[in-house]
Amino acid sequence: MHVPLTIKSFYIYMRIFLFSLIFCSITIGAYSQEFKVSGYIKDASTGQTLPGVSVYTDETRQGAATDVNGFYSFSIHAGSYHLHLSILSYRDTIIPIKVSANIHVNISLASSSENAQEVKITADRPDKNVTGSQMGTIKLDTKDLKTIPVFFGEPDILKVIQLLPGVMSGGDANTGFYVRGGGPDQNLVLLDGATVYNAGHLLGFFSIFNSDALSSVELTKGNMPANFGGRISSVLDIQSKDGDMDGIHVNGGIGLIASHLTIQGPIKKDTASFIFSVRRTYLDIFLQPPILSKTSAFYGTKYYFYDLNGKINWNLSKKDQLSVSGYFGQDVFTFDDADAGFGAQVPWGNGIAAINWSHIYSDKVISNLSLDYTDYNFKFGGTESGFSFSLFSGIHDYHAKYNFDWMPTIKHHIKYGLEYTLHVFIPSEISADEPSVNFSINSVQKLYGNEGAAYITDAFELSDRIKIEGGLRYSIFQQIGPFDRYNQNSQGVNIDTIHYKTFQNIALYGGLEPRISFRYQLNGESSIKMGYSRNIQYIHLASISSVSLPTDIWFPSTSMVQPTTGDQYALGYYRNFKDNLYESSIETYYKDMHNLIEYKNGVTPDQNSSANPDENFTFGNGQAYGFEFFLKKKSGRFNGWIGYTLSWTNETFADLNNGQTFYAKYDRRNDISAVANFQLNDRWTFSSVFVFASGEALTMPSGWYIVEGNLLQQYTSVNGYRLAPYDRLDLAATYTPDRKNRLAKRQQRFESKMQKKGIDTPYVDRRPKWEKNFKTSWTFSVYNAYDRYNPYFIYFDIHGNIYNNSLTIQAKQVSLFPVLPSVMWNFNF
Amino acid sequence: MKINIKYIFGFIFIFAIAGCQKNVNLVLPQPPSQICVDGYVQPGYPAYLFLTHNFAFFGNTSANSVLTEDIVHGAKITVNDGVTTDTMIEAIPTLGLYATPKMRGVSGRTYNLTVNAQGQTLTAATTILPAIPLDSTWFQLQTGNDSLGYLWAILHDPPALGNCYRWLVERIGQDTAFVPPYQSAFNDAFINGQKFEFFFDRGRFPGSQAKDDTNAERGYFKKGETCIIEFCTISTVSYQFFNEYYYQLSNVGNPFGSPAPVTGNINGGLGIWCGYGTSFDTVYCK
Repeated sequence: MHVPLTIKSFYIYMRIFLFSLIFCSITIGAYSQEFKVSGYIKDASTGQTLPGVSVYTDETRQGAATDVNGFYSFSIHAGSYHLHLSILSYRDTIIPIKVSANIHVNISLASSSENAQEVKITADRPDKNVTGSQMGTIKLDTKDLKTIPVFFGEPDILKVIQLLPGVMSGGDANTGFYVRGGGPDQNLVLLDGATVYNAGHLLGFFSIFNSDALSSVELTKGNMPANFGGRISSVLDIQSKDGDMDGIHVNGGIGLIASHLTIQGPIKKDTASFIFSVRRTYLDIFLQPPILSKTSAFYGTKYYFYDLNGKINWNLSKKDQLSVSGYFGQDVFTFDDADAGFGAQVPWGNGIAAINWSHIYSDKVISNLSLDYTDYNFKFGGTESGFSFSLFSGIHDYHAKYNFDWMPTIKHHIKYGLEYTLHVFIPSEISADEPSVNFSINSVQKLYGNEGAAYITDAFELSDRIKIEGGLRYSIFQQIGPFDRYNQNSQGVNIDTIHYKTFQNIALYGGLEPRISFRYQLNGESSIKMGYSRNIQYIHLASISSVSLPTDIWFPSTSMVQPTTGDQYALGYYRNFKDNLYESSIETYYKDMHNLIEYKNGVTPDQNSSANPDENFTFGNGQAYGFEFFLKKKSGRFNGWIGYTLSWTNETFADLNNGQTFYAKYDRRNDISAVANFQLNDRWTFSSVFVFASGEALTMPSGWYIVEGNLLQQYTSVNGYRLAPYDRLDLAATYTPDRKNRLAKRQQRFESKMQKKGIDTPYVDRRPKWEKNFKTSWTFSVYNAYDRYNPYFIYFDIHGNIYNNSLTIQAKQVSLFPVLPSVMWNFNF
Repeated sequence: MKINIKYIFGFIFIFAIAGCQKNVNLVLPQPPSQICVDGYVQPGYPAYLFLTHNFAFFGNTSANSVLTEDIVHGAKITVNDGVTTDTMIEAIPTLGLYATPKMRGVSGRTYNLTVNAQGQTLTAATTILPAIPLDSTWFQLQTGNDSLGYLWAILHDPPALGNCYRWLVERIGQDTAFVPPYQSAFNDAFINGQKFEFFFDRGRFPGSQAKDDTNAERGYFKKGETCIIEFCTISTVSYQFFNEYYYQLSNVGNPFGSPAPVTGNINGGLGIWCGYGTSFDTVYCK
């Protein structure tokens, strides 16, 4: 159990921990005897390094997966082996190697098929789900996202994440995802190692991740490795693409409401590369005259969002690689009603910058130093009749992480490192201005926090059957000044103010976060795994609204807000069939959560702008438990998966629901997702998605009472009502024109023309290189194919009044999307 | 004066509504029977209290049913101001209005309320805080209008943070009581210690069908009217109640709003028991 710490005891703990780390390094290092096999794996056509490639010997099944830089390294005894490289979307490659000393093997992999269209969930090895010790870790291949039927044809990695067992969707217009009963703030979302606080555009209709700019996506929903922390439910680790080091490539897509373009290429061949992506919507064009009439309710409204991704990669030497990446995205909403004298500008978005330096110290030790900056902000500016008003909330994170991968022996893969973040939170800063009136709005304070962690994790094989992965993470969080704490009496009047100076300690929390997972291999095709993990979360997302909004506020632990803790226990059985063609698993979990955060009853949004908004929160505990079933056909013309989750999530807060336990908003009794892909031929691929989920728990009024003649709604239970179940079928077809056939016809036409002229000249393709390589595809999709009216929210339409007996109340269910066909044209050259 | 954040999402709401919506019949749980207090006390006047009980969300919500079924009669209500205790009587039984026959409000005193009715006991306490009068008040025509406008005032907020206020207005000869406009309660979180000017529009009684509450004059004061402004200091607890009260009223039908329960200061029941530290100003609209 974490406890508040004094500074002194914190330093004592840290010294003991770091001493243990160093001591362990020395003792384990002393026993290393084997030779090292290491190198980089790249895409043969683009030159991009490939993370997540499984590299292992056929003889001993020993090996490693490539890291984010495409680097692998493992130890093995001297001898001759066949090095097997495997990753879906690429041809399996086997290379004979002879190990008599440390060797460095760089390999380029060729794509398995240019037209491979199936959506792939990739594991490091074909049987990794059975042989690995990790539970609940899934890699998604972003290469083929385009074929999944999605909203308005925009490929969306977060929508695909929501199709996995144990991952629940928040419904339409929600990119937030709930993992094993946890709220959306309990998921750590990383882009190139930097935290993403708001992953949604347009209130969650789209995610901020432009799939063209992404390289790999890995979700860990179970036993989070110790090198990740700060959240209690899951980590979604997204890496952006490296640019092609060999040649310029361009790809893009044009859709109904958005288009995207990516360009990449070498800065210096085989040494440095760049990649830049841009995506923008054009809803704002539709919301203009003459498309929109002046009498429309939308007139005066503009909305668009855009994303910019960029990355520069530089191989400094054989042992050093540097990358600088950035993301900048904004939603911009403006409203202008000149007649009414009212205008509003509402931009919000994320900015991320990351520098990564990886260095190979030796064949056994690789380090990765990352420095990144995250900025999330929400602004509202409004003017009305000379009165101007603005609201700002945001987060700035300055983050550094130094990670070491150390493979001292064949059987050990150790990771250790340090992590530090300086958080700056601006909960709700308000300013106002009116001629002749001087508003003094200085009560809102920034909140500052130091978050740090040291960790060590080791995956080792105890025997052929038993593999254990254990990790320890020690984390701390410190709220520091400047800050003023106002103490109030029972009437809410300030009676005392405590001033904290810059860097002065206000509250300090810390705790040990052990994680362990254990695999027992029953045979070559099946295994049993179990795991336990403890996570501490120091920052929280507080939402007043019943739907997810960018106005939701992130808030750190303070002297009033203790960290949230989660203890998760999981047990699973894994079985593959037909030489790993089919993969199946059953997992069960139990998660115990403490110090969950909610707003107190009756808190209104303006109270976020009070001097000490953390006094608006109340705290409680929760439990989540359930079963997850998963069956997947991994390859072939027909492939896909089906996942089913049966789960319960409940919470207990002393100040809510009269202290009675209630179902969490994230409670879903049943959740089914099915994805099917069928490749008819080289030109046509069809895919479908079906989802079903039990209705969301919702708080509804149960009665009325009268104050000053007005009717007030009475609430007697929290989340006591269930929305109707959610179900939806999406369909997609992808057409890829047959270029070889077209080229053959062109050649045929040319030759017959020449023959008619009596000239015997062979056809020479004189088109420029880019045109020769120009490839296109069309994706046609239908969202919500059977036009199901899924509930988005329920509101009460109230007319009349009680005094003339004309009061009528009608509940209305609003559904967002009817059947929505769309088309997207993709190209690359 | 307040720009509601809801504006931001108005277009999304319209988009959503334009999508698809349908009527649904909800089966909501029956609330347990609870008594609601709507009471106040101010200097020089008796303490007043309306006593009703709650009713089901989809129940009978007509004036007749409220008057016949939901008013609580025969309650035993006592008020203690630290000096004496008075027992309320039903002043207007048809409206469920109780009043203290002898006790009058005194600034600075705390008033403890006890209600015994229908087998339930409710308690509450409130204090009449010292009045903070307005510096000046006036009527100002709305730009472009030659007869309609708002009531303006200048307030000099005291240096200490935590002052809360409520504004009510009665038009002489037209209104039967002081009427609070929408968002009539505010605190000094953003204007602490400042001397500043502000205005309010004209409130109306809930359900009013008066001509000037339904035509273009709605919300305006008019040239020729004589108005009395009742400017009150209230406790933070009372301010929080009215803040939540107006938030809920504005939240009805708003999908982006939260379930907005209103937390009063009545132990064992619903509603508010509020002390007003009053000051009065008369404004001739000209």
